[in-house]
Amino acid sequence: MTMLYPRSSNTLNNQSGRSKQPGGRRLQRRFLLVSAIVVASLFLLLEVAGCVLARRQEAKSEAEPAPPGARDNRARILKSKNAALRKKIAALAPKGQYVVIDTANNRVYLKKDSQTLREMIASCGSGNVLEDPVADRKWTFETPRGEFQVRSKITNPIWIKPDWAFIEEGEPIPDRSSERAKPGEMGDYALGIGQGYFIHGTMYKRLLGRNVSHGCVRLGDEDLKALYETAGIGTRVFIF
Amino acid sequence: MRYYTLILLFLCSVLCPTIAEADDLEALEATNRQLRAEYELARKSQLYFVFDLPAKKVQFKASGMAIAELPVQRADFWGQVGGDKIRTVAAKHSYGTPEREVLKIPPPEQSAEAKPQAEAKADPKKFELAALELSDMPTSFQVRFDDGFLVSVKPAPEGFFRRIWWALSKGFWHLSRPLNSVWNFLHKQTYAEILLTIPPKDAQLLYWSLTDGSSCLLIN
Repeated sequence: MTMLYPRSSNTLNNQSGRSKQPGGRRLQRRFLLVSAIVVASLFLLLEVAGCVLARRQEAKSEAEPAPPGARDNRARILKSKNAALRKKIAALAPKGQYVVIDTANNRVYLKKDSQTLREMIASCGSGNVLEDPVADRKWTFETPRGEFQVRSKITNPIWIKPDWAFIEEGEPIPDRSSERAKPGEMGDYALGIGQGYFIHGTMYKRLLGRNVSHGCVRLGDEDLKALYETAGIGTRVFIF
Repeated sequence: MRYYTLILLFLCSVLCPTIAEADDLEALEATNRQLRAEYELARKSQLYFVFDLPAKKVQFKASGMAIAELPVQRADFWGQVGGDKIRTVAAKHSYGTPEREVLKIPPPEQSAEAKPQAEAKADPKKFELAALELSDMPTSFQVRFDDGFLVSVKPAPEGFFRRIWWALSKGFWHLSRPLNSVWNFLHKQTYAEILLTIPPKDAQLLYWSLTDGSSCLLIN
């Protein structure tokens, strides 16, 4: 006679759990696999679509070919036109000496054609901003970029201190213009390049090579003298 | 067999120069468009930038003359780059964009307190340089032009791990471009981008020099 003993509920639960788990996991795995395949397919589809779109835009931009008979003639015309354009562009370049100012590296180059005659250490604009909220005024201390010309040459220049200089130093702005005159602060020479900007000397020589100026280009005494003696009125100045 | 070879040679001699001429004509037309665009920029007496990708360089030019030149180590393209036309810089983006120091003038009642600060600034021992300099500029950035065209700049990798990172990010760039194309197509916009790899210091100089509104020309 065989005796049937009732199993404990725990054992039963465990067994039923074991029998369910593999199926559940399989389903889970399948679901993950299908999801991954769907996502990968979608990604692939989008990649292909993107490539096709980029190619289609390229194809659209292609010019229509010229008729065979006109090819030679067109090529001849284009060659002469291109040569003329090259000449026109070359004619715009400065003749003789010119000045290049690199505001990022604080360097001034005196050049002739592609040759550098003198390399000088400078101080260009700091890029700082001074705001006067009361009078709603704002100054950006940046050296301007672009093409300029030497417009004026001054010996023993006197700095006419502008409003921002007084404000920056926490001093009251004087009413009389004579109180603004500060001789000796700009060095022995100054070369005006327009828009109120100058290439001039400095009292802060240890700061040459750093971006500390209020927009003007500061040079050391010897370099300034050499530039003053070499660059005439009308010398082109390129600032980048 | 001899006859076939002769016929083939004859066909080659007739067809090849025609194909070469067509290529020449296209190249001449592209050069013409590029020169016309450059002349327009050069006569304006302003600074402009030429991305000369076949010559692998970026030139800073004024009056048709190159005043500075940066080497491009590698250029990757996506979409219709469309050279030979003048583009204007609309915006620059980078992580950790350098910010200008803004000095605000204190109201009159505070100015007395502010004075000692100004004095402290004048003291050379306490002097701290408050300026935006080249070293503050980012090496990795993106320039958006007025027509939506993008130029991304990445620094050339130095060192083993940076090279690996650079290769990974480049792979990601190539994988994500088609998705960008689809996204822009859905928004009815064209999408084109160039990825330039430039030495880090030159990348900083390019960021410094390219200001909003700068004119650029792309030679492709």
